[in-house]
Amino acid sequence: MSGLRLLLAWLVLWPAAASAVEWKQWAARMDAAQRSLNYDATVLIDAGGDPELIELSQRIGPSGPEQQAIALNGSPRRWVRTASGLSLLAPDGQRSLAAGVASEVGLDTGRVAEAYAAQLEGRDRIAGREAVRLSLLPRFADRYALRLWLDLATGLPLRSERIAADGQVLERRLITRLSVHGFAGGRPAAAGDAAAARAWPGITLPAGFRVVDADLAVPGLAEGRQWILSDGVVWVSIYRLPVAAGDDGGAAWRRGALAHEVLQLGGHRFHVYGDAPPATLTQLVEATAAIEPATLPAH
Amino acid sequence: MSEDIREQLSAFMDGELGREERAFLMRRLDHDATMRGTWSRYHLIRDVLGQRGGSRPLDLSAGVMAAIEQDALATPLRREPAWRPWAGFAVAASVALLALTVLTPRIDAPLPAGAETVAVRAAPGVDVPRPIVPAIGAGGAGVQPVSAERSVTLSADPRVLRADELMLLRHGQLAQPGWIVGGDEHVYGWQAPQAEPAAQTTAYPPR
Repeated sequence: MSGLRLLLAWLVLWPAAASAVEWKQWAARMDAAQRSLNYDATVLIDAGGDPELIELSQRIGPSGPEQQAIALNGSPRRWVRTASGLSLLAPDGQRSLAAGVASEVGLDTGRVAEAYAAQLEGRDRIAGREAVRLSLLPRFADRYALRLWLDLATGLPLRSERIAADGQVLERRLITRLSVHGFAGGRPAAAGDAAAARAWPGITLPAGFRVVDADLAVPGLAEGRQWILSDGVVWVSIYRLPVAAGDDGGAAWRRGALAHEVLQLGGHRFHVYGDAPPATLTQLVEATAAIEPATLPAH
Repeated sequence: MSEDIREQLSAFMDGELGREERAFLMRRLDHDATMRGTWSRYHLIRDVLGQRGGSRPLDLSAGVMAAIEQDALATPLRREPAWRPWAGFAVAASVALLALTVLTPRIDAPLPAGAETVAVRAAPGVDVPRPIVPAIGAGGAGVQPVSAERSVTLSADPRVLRADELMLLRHGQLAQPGWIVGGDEHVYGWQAPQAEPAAQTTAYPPR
């Protein structure tokens, strides 16, 4: 009798377990494609207002993926992202450089599963290519859902949608043309759970969120410090500036899924950017503001 | 394709055509590749733009088609004279000669102050994509487009970023790419809303 129960339990649970393995494999393929695929694409970004069209190229260099984006509408602009910084280039030759090292924390599907219910939703066709639909539905009301269309051949995301709790699509990105130039030997990412393994005593963050990097110096921003938090899907930057130093960080705004909030707590002003509802960003600032840098573990 | 047909396609998509008109239009679609292309574009536009809550669907195709037709009317076809190809060759040769004799800088000539020139790279092999830029860190020389390798002159010193620009760009750089098309580059598609530009900075042209 117990054998029969075991068999029934296996029959009930097996499809769910198989599906979980399958979405994690697709997520891992996506991660690999973004780290090691050479490609050129035309991308349409619809985040409210006028749609943006960009020409995006990714090449795998000696220090990892490098991306160049050229705005095809609006004011002429070009961005280049490498392992050492992100540059904004104007047509008159002027350049702006935001130095910084890209996070090398790899994809941690276990952490994603804590905050999102993931499921594969069948096939579709994007930019003339077969795609697999992957949905990430938040387990908590304080963040957005994400739908992805992953290229069947490479795993590269061909389309993405950030969706609010009321079903409104806040931001849609769509590749309309893709040329793939093959995989290159991308550097392997650091263990996905390396950041999660750090101990951050005394911090109560929204469920699923972890501190990825803390108290980073910000070249070009006097006395500014940066914190990076993530739940595996949403990435949030918190900047802490001394109030006395003056502040031209601008007022709060939201465009598509990306929001910018400004708070003043104690002797600091906080600017926070992330793909989450403004209330969630505020909550994250309040949680991290309580941390004294002197108590942070070394890493 | 006439405006009437485009209106019929639009009405067909909205389910507003009668039975006979529908049948006729489907027969035309069977035999007209141009019309099928328009039909596909209408669907793509509706799919991408038309489903956003609270937004007005944009009929981009109509504007584009009108511009093409206007352009075609403005430039009637003419019979090309027999000497035309040779004239083009002569002009190209003259320009190349001028570039070689007048515009080529001396190798030992110093760079003008306040400017640096990105060296022209060899064209990449057909199947061998190259990195976009060798380095961009301290004193990095800038970049070249992947699609058109060419020399670019950039300002010697990076423009001083306003705090809001710097924070947004760093967010785009440090945040992990992954879950959206094109990586986590929110800064790619737009510029952050901003107040009056600071006096020491140069604003980009208004959009």
